Amino acid sequence: MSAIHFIVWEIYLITSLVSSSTLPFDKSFKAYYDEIVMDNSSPEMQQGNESSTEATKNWLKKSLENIGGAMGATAKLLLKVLPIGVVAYILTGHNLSFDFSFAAQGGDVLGALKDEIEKSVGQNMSAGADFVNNGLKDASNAIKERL
Amino acid sequence: MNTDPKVFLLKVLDAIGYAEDKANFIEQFLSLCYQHAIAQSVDTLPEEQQDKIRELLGEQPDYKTLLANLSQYVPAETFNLNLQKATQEQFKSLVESVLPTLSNEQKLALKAVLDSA
Repeated sequence: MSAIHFIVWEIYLITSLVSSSTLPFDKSFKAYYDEIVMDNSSPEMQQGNESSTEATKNWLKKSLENIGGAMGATAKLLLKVLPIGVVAYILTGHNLSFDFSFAAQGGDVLGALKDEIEKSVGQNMSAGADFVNNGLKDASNAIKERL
Repeated sequence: MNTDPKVFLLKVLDAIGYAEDKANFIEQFLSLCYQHAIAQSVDTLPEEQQDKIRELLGEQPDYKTLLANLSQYVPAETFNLNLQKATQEQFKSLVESVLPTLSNEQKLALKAVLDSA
C-alpha cells in the first residue's frame, strides 16, 4: 500500500467511526476510493479514448466545414487554382524545390507548374515549419497552465 | 521543439488517446492552419491588389511570374506571422474542445507533451 493509499484509507476509517450510520457519506466515500483511487484503470480510460477521439474528429470536421466560410473570393480562387502546399511555398518565400506532403490537396494545378510540382512532392521538410512550431509553442504555453 | 511539427502533433494525439489515423489527422490539421494563414494574408489585401491577383491567376502564369507577383503583395514575413497566429489559434481551439473528454491521466500526459514544446 502506498503512502497516499494509506492516508486515504486512514481518513476513510476515521470518518467512518465518527459519522452517523444514516449518512450516505461512508458509502459514497468508499465508492470514490474504490473507483478513483484503487481502480482508475481500463473502463474509464477506454471510455476516455473513445470520447476524446470523437471530440478530436468532430473538431476537425467542424473546422474544415468552417474554413470555406472564413475565406474570401481571392483566397478561394488561389486555392482552386493551386494546391495549398504550392501557395504556402510561394508565400513563405521559398523557391520551388518542393517539400509538402499535403501539396496535392486542393487546386487544379496550373499546367505550367504541374510537372515541376509532381517532381518535387514527397520530400520531408515543410515550408514555414518554424512558424508552425512557434504557433504550437504559443498555444501550449497558454493551455498548460489550465491542466 | 523538434523541427518537424508533425512529431509534436503525433505526441499530442498519443497523449489524448486519439485512436484513429493520426498521420491523416495531422495532415488535415496542418492544411487547415495553412488555409487560415492564406486567407488572412490574401483576403486582407486592398481590393485593387486582390483584383490583380485574380487577373494573374486567370492568365495561367508560370511559376516565376506567380512568385514575383504574390511575393510583391504578400511579403514572406507577413505570411509567416499569419501562419504562426493561425497555428496557435487552431491548436488552442483543438485542445480546448478535447479537454473536457480527457481523463486525469490523459491530462497529465498532455501537459508533459505541452511542456516539451
